[in-house]
Amino acid sequence: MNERMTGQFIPGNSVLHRLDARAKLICFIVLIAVVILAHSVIGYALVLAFTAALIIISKLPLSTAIGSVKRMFWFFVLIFIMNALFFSSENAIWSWWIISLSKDGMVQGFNVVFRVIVILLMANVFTLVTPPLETTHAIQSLLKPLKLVGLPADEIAMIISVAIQFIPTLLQEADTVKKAQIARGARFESRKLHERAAAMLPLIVPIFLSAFKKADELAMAMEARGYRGEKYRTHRKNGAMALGSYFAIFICCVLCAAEIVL
Amino acid sequence: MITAKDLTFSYDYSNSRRSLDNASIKVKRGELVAVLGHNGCGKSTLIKHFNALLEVQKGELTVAGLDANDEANTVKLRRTVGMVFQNPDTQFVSSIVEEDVAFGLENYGVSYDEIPKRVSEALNAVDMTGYEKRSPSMLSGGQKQRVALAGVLAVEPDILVFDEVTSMLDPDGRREVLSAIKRLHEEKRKTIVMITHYIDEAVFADRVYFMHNGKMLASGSPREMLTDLELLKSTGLTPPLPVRMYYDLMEKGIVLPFCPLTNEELTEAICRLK
Amino acid sequence: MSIEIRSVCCTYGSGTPFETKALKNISLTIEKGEFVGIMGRTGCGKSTLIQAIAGLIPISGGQLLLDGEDINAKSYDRSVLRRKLGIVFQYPECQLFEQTVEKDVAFGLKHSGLSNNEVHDRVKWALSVCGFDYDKVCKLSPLGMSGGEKRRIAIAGVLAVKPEYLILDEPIAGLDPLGREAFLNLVTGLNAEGMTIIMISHNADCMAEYARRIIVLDNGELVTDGTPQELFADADKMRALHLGVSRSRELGLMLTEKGFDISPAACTYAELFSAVYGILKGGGSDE
Repeated sequence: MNERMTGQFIPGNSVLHRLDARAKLICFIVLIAVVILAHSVIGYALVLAFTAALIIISKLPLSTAIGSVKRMFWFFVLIFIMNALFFSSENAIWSWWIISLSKDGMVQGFNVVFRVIVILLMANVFTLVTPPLETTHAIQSLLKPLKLVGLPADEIAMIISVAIQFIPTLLQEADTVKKAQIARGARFESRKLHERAAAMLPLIVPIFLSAFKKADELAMAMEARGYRGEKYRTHRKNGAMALGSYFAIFICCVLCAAEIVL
Repeated sequence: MITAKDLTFSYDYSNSRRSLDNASIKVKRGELVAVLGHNGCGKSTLIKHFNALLEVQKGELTVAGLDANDEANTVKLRRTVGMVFQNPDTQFVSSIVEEDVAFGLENYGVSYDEIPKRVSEALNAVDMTGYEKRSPSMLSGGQKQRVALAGVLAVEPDILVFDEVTSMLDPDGRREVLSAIKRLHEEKRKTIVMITHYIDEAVFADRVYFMHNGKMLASGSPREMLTDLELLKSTGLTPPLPVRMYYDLMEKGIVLPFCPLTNEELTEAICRLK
Repeated sequence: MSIEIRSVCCTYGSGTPFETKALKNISLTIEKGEFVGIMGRTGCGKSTLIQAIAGLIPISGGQLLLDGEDINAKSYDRSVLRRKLGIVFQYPECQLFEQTVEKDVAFGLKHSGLSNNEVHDRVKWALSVCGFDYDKVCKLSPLGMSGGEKRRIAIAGVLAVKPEYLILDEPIAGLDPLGREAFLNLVTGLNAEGMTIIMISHNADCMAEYARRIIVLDNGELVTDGTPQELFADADKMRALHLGVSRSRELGLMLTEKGFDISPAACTYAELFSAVYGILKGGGSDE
C-alpha cells in the first residue's frame, strides 16, 4: 500500500537481473575500486559511460535508476561548496575570514561529488536488479574464506538476512509514525534547521522503541523455533558460477586496469 | 501431555508483581485447550514456560514427559512444542516463504535433502501451496500467520501453542487461521493450547481455562465455563451472543429449554419453545 | 460545516511497474456531527482515504474540502487542518515518545499559541476524557504503562487539540472485550458532544452497534453508503465483499431460515433481541 522506496528490488529479465548475485557483488566491489582509481578526464568519461551502459542494460526506468541521486541534489551541492570553500587557502581566488574559495577546492569538491554520485548510482542499480535474499547468499558464500581466520561468516549472513526481511516492516512503521506526528502538529516540513532537528525526536524515539520491541519479538520467535547459532544448522550448497559470471568480473577488472593506466 | 503445578513467575523476580501466581493447568494428548483472560492476565507468560522460553521460577512443569526445570531438556522442549505468536510481522527470518518454513528444520540439522519435502508438506497442511517463492511481507495477515504455522509444523511438534494468533488479523484472516487450527486438531489430532480473548474461539475447545491476574480462576468444558455469567464477568470477558440472549430472555420471563452456546443451538432452542 | 470529497483519485508509484490506483474517483460528503464507519477488506483503500482526508498524502485528482476550503490549495493554511482534524492511527501507542504523560499529551498543542494555563487545562481535560486522573499520571513515563493505557494516552494526545473531526483507524484492534467497550463508549460520548467521528474497523459488530452510517470501499471504489441496517440487510453482498455481517444479523438470518419473521434490518443486539422477544412472547411459552 505504500510508495516504494528507492533501491528496492524490481523484478525483471535483463542480463543484469539474471547474472549470478555473487558475480554482481564482486563486480560491484571492483567497480568501487574503479571509481576511486579514476583520476583523469578520460578516466571519468569511461566511468560515466560504463555507468550509463549499466543503467541501459538493466532496462530500469531512468527515473527509478537515478531517483536517489536526484533526491540528494542539495546534499551534493553542499559537499561541493564545503570543499570549494574550505579545502585549501593557497591560491585562493577569493577569501574572507576562514573561508577561501580556491581552484584546488573546487576540483576536490568535484572529485568527491562525482565519485559519490557514481557509486550511489551503481549501488542503486545493484539493489534494484538483485533480490535481497540472493545478496545475502552471495555475501555468505563470499565471506566463507573468512571462517578460516575465525570470523563468524554464517552468523553475519544470518544477521543480514534477518535485517533485510525486516526493512519493509520498519519502513512502514516509520512512515506511520511520521504521518501520525505530522497529524499531531509536528513540523518536519519546516525550513528552519533548529526546528527540524527538534522535530526529529518524536520520530526517532518511537521508531527506535518499536524496532527494539520488534527485534525482541523476532528473537523470541527464532528461539522458539530452535535457533541456537549457526553451528547446529543445516547448510545449503552453492552451485558453481556460470561462465558468464566470470566474464562479467573479467570486464570489470579490465576496466579497473584501464583506470590505473589512464 | 502438559502438567503444570503451582507455577509462579515474575519478570523482575519480585514477590509483589507476579505475572503468574500459583497457576496450574493440565492438557491431555489430543486435546484442544483454550486459555481465556483479559490483556495482561498472565496467559502469555504461562505458555512461554511450555517451550522453555521462560524458566520455571517456582512450581513444577512437565511437558511430554520432559521436566522443564531441567535445562538439559530445553532443545527437546522447543522441538516438542511449536509456538506461533501474535504479530504476523515479527516471526519471519527470510524474505522467501519456503526458506522461512525451512528455518526450524535447519536449526535442528535436518538433512538438506529432506527439507524440501517437509517444507512442501507443511505448506500444504495450511493451504499455502503455491506461495513458496513469495515474500512474506507481500502476503496478507492471515497468510503470514499460516506461513508461520507451516514453519512450526515442518518440525513436526507434538504440541502446538498459539499465542493470540488471530488478534491482529482481519475477519478473513481470522477465519483462515482458525480453520487451519481446527483442521490440525480434528484431522492430525494435534495437542493444542490456544490463548485468546475472543470468546467465540473458545467454543470449539475441549476444555477452557480462565485466567485473571496471574491466577487460574476456573476450568471446565466450554458449556460449563462460557455459560457462567458471573465467572465471565469476573474475568472481564463478554459472553457469547447466544448465552447473552438466553439470560436476557430469562430476565424478561422467557426460559429457553437449555442454554445455547452456538447460533445453531440457539435456533434450535427457540424452535423447541415455539 | 462538512468534509467534502469530490472525485478524489489517488495513485501510488505512478510511472513505475508498481503503479496502483488506491482510490478511484471517490465522492462523498461527511456532515458535522456524524458517526461514520468505513469498512473494506485489507488493501481496499480505506487507509489511503483517511490519510488523504487528513492531508497526509497527496491526491492525484479531485478535491478535498474541509468546511468549504480546499486543503490541497497552495494558499490553504495547513495548521487549520491540524487543529480541526485529529487522526488516530492503528496501534497509536507506538507514537509515544516524551518522558512524561503530560508532555506527550501536550505535544500537539506546541504550535497552537495557547497559554500555559490553557494547555494545562486541555491536557487535564483530554486525560480525564480518556479515563485518567491527571494528578496521578501526569508525571509518569508513558512508555512504562500497559498496552491499553498507552493507547488511551496516545488518544488523549490527539483529543487535546479538541478536533472537530476525529478519524480513527482500527482503534480497537488488539484490545480485550472490556477495553473495546470502554473505548467505544468514549468515542460515542465524544460524538454526542458534537465531534464528528470517522472510524475504520473490520469488526462488523462494532460497526453495527456504534456507527450511524457506513461507507464500504472495495478495490479503491466506493461500493455502498448507508445505515448499518441497510447495509447488513443485504448479507450476501457483505459476504461477497469479504466483510461479513454482525453476529446479531447472522443469528437473525439463521432464525429467518427456520421460518421466523425477523426483519433483515435487525443488525444490532438490541434490535435482534426485541425481534426474538416479540416472537416468543406472542407465541406463548407455556407448553
